[in-house]
Amino acid sequence: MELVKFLNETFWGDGGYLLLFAVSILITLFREDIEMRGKRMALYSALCFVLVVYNPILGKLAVEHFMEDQWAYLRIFYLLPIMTVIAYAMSEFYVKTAKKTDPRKRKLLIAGILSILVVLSGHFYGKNMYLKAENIYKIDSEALEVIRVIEEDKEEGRTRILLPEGEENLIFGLRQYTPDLVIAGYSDKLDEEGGLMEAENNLDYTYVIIGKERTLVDCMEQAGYTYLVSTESHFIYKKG
Amino acid sequence: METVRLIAGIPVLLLALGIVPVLTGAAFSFKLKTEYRKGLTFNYTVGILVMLAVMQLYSVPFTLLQCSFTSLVILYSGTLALFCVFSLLRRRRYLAKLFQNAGSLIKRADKKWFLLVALIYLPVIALSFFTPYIYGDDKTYLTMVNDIAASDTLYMIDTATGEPITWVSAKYALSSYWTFLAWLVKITGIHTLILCKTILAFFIAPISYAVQGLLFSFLFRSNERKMLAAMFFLNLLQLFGCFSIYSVSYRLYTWIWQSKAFLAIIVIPFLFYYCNLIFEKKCAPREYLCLSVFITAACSTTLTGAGLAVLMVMLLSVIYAFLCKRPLIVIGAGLAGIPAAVYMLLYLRYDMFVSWLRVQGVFRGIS
Repeated sequence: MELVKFLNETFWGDGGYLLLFAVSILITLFREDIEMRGKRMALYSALCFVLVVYNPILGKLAVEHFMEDQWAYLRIFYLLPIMTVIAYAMSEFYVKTAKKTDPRKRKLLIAGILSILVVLSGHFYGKNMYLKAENIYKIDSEALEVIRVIEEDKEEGRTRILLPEGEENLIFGLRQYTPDLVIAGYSDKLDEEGGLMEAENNLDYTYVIIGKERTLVDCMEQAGYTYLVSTESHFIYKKG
Repeated sequence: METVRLIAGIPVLLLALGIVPVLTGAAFSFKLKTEYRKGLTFNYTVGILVMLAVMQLYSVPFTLLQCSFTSLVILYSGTLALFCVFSLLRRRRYLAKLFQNAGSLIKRADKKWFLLVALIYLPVIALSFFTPYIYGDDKTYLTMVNDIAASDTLYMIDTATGEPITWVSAKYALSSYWTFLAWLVKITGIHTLILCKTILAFFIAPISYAVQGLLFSFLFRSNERKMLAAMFFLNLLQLFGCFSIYSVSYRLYTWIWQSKAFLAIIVIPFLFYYCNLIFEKKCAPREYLCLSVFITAACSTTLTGAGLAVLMVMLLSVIYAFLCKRPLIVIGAGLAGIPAAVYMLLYLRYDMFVSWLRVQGVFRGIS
């Protein structure tokens, strides 16, 4: 039952699509003037909803043996043709209510009412969902700059690098963009006492990327690293 | 350089995702009842699913046996080429008729259909300039596609570091959508990130609506007025369907290139349509065979797809068996689900199976 509660709260949220879906199923099933094919779709949706999606036994089995967690189990909702059923019921209602011979105003009014119903029941894909892409690859522009600097300098083939561990945008961007940069380790501990020596002894790498705020910057060149370039937030050094 | 690769790659992509699916679908669908396979959309979607199913049949053993990606590309491309040649030689007239019918449909189409197409593409065009907030799945899956294409191995690179690994997770070994994307990257030369994050949306979004169009055509018995109204409402419902990150429309307007998206917006709806289409009348064995191929395509997206496909097909078969008083539908549907059962069994016994393969020394690494 906990799984059922989780599905309800996580999937449907506070929108009105559940109500739209339920009403659409009822209208399609019980109106006599609706085609048998539509009724079968509505019947499938109702049975799937009750016997499959909200079945606690099936849910428990699936989560224990096949899914990573109950979040992955939310994919069970793909079985429900939610949008199709609602669109079907709406269009049946629209076509039966706004006849072909009716004036254009009346047809637009009915379509408008149904559309407003959808808008009020749902959530729009607004700007807060997205970031403006900084480049054609849609990765962090800092990551792209770091990659370009290293690619211009390095030899052909794979190159191993150290970079700051906590900077997900940099790591994600690098690994997505090119398979030629291997993350040999992280540069966060290099400015601890003996950190640089430990890295040199235990890790195989050619480039080091460090944040501009690090204290390590002062001793990199003393340790024999070649300063390559400074990007907006990082320094890039080459070993040797 | 990237621009040159992009420009050169677009015609190849149009061939791979435009012409090849139609030829493959025409080659494959000829055994189905004539009334099912009249339209270009049906043949195209069948073709895409057959392409995914064939990739699944090749990619899983190739991955388990640690063969090279290049050998897979050659075998897969060769198979598709054979389908295309067969189609061009033996299905010429049928293809000509398909394109003729499509042409005359477009010529006499109500202007509102063109408005609908514009409404479908508007969000896709707008989203070309945006990206969903940075998300871990991008790093894993897109990196995986890049690594497959560059390292010439199948899932043998750690996506977090880029180091080689010796054990492939069951989740990746037993599905093949990422291999399919890597194949597209390899043959087109387009960068993975540009292909997946921007270009693929221009193909996948309209395919999704085309599948819904097939379904509405079935439900409304090709009543154009109702179909048009339904498609407009569907468009609106999708735009306002951001009530959950697991809604189907969420997949359409965020990470549309993901396997979960392809499963939710194309494969599952098409399976729903196809099952309703064939179960309504007496089914021939070849229709169950096609169903089996489409279920294999569902397995190629994710392992969840295997389970979902079987659940949907079995529930529909039970409903039709009861309503149409034809219990054999359930048996046919059950047999069609065998590929999914095989993959799910492999998943449950994966560690044991791979260890056995290693003991047998089966890893030959064909290159």
